[in-house]
Amino acid sequence: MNQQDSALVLARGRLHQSNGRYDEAIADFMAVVGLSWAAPLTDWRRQSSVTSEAIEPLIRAVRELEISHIAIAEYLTAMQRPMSGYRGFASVDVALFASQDRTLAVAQAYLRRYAPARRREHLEMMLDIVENEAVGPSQGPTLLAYQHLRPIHARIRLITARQLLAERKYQCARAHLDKALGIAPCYGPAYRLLGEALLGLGRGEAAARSFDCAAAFWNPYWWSIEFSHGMRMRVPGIAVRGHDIFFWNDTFIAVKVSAGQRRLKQLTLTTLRYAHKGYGRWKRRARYRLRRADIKVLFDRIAGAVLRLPGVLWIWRRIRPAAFAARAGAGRLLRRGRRHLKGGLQRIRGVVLNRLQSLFPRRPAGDLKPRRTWRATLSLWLAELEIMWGAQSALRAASLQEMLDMLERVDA
Amino acid sequence: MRVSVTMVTAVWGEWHIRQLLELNLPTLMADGNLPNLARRHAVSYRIFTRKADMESLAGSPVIEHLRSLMPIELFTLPDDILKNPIAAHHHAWDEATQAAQADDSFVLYLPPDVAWSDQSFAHLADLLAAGRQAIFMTYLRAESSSFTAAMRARRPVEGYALPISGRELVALALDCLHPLMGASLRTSSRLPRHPEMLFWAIPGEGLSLRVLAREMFLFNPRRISLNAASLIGNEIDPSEIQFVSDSDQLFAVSLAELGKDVDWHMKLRAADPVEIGRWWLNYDSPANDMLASHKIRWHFNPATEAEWRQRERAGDLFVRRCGVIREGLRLRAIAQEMGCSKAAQLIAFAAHWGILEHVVRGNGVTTILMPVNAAFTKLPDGFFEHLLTQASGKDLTRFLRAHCIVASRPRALPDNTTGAAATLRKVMAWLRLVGRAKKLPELEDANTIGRPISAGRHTVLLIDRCLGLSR
Repeated sequence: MNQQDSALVLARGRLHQSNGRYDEAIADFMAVVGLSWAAPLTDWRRQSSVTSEAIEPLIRAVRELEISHIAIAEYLTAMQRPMSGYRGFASVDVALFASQDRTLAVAQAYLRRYAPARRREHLEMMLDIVENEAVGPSQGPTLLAYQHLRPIHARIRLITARQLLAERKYQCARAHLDKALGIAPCYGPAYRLLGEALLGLGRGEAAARSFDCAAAFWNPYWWSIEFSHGMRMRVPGIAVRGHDIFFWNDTFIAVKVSAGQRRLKQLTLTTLRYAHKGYGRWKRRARYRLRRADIKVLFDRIAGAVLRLPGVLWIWRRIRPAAFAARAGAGRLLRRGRRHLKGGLQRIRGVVLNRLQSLFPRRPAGDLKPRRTWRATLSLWLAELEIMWGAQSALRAASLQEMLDMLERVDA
Repeated sequence: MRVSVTMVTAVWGEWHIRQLLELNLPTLMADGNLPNLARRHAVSYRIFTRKADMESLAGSPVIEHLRSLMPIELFTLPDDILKNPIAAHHHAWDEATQAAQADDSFVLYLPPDVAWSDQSFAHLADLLAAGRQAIFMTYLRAESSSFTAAMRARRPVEGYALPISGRELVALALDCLHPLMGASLRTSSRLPRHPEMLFWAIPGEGLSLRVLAREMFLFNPRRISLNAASLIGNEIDPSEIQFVSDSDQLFAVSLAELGKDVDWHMKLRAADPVEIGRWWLNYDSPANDMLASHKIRWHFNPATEAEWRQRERAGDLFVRRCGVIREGLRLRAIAQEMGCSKAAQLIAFAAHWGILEHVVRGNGVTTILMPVNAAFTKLPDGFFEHLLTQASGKDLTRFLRAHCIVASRPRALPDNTTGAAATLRKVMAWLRLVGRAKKLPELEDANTIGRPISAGRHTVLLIDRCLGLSR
């Protein structure tokens, strides 16, 4: 089967799968992999390591069937009914349900082979299948030894910690969980297990803080966030002691937000949302829909700017006399200072740019510069202002853990 | 009482149109369904479809036959909106809701791929005549290919109607149960990540069900407003709402292919009140607790009361636990936003350690007296640390309970009030609770700080001292 045929068969298999026709889907995927269902396990292991685009969809399809079967088996057990009375799998070959050991073995081999580079979601799927053996010594070295599994190291550590907690090895579990949170600081389930480990170690206050974070980081979409160089965002979900936490210029910043500001923000967002909806209806556009995802950033930024305005006015009223006096009396001095500052900054910029030039090659002449969208520009501009205006005695820390510790010590 | 009802369906694509014409509408044409409803109320039907399917729908003999019962209007869905099926359904519902609002009509959302038991719509007609403003129901999901094959075998030789009783339909649907429903059992090892409903199995009889959040089915859009999650957004008199809770009265099966939404239950996940409480908070509605309190019975044999009651009691306990934790987590977030991190940590600890559910009594509105961080410094040495130990269950329960005033079981306001009590009295007057209030908890020397804060159904007052230490 050549590459073009493979792509067509794969696409057909995916279509079958999305329509619930698993027999046909699995047959297509296996045709691309080049295996029969009866092939010995060694063949499956070998095949799982080659560059095949079909092995992941094949295992996914088989796993989906297995999971469906598990759910129905549990239901029938609860209802005290035999599997033979169930009609739902009429279109599926029953032999597929007897392959859980094979799926497990293929998933284990998949995780332990380096080449080719794997996508995160595929690694996660395989880890879900082998979940109970992440630390199993019988399967060779622990999965943490494999560097190419780094994207899922936090999850592996969580699974390991869960098993250690079940064995009441609190200190070891805590070490794994600390490392997991070092990788993924918004990993809610890790905070929860860390709370249990700390409680087992008799550190109730620290445990309570962990449980508090577990409740804050509830959304699974946040769990894999790794704060990397150049990211600028609000740490989602969490507010500690009235502070919102941002990751900005490679440090974590805590910005105090008063209750009034929060209320005003909520009110502004609600008003904007309804105003937008009302405007859409007024325009009588039949296809009008509120596209939340598209305009949420804009809303947040406008709301943020509106919220900061009273603070800015307050500051301006206080510094206005001094500003006017400075302008009138020290204009020449300021101009000179500004000139020196500008020159100094240009000199620093020149030195830094020379150093960086070797690291970052220039865009070849003739290549078009990618255009930044107006939305991204506006959002970055307003986000910067939002941070600057809101920063009342802002705390800064290198890691989220350090930031949480600092906020905890504010009273002391 | 006769009301007008606008039914609305969004349908496109060969498979869905076939389900509508061969399964949904034929089951609705049974004597106890649309004919009954159309006889007793003014019913109209709006069908939204894509341009390419307009002809096949308009020319269908089933639709033609249905026109003898009610006026039917067909509308075109714009092509660009069809890229997102959920948005397309919401678009159709929004359009129909606005039209119904203008005409002072009820709206009934009717998905295309559903089969109905006979007498279901007759029961709806009864409820509408009795003045209900919102009627809820939920569907059991069945695996589509096996279910449609079984239903096809039941098709009558003559006529369009395909009547099937509630019990027969329950039995058939359970034989073809969709795996997502199997995973929604309370005892499942892989509970879906959207646990909108939970089941308890009664062998040989059926399923007991609890629904935690539910979108609208049939409602009066002039009385009920919807929030961003399309759930009830306003407070409403519970007597105006009805959740149909017996499959003998109304039952419907929704169809889905094998593998549909399987990623919801791919991971090992037992039914955990903390996770469910947190999820529930994301689908917040003032009506959720009322809906979850309904004990729904889907049965194919007569119900043995003792068996069902046992599962329903278990359901009561579990749903209450989830609800208490949901409210605890709501208060935790507010506490952190208000700077009360110690209180937030205590609540989080109690929620995760299974203590919180013993703290709250009653199901009504609660006033929370939340100590600020400085209040904890006034505690006896080591007391706060003691509360956060594994052995502190009773003390922590007592401590937290001292800071809650359950309005459904209020105590009398004392004549001799401190500053805090006076403020509290004003707050409770504001909440219109004074008439029912009988006694306040002991406030000791505590003073309130700032204005009361609204937290869902509850009110939070910041106080400068911890309470309940004298006991």
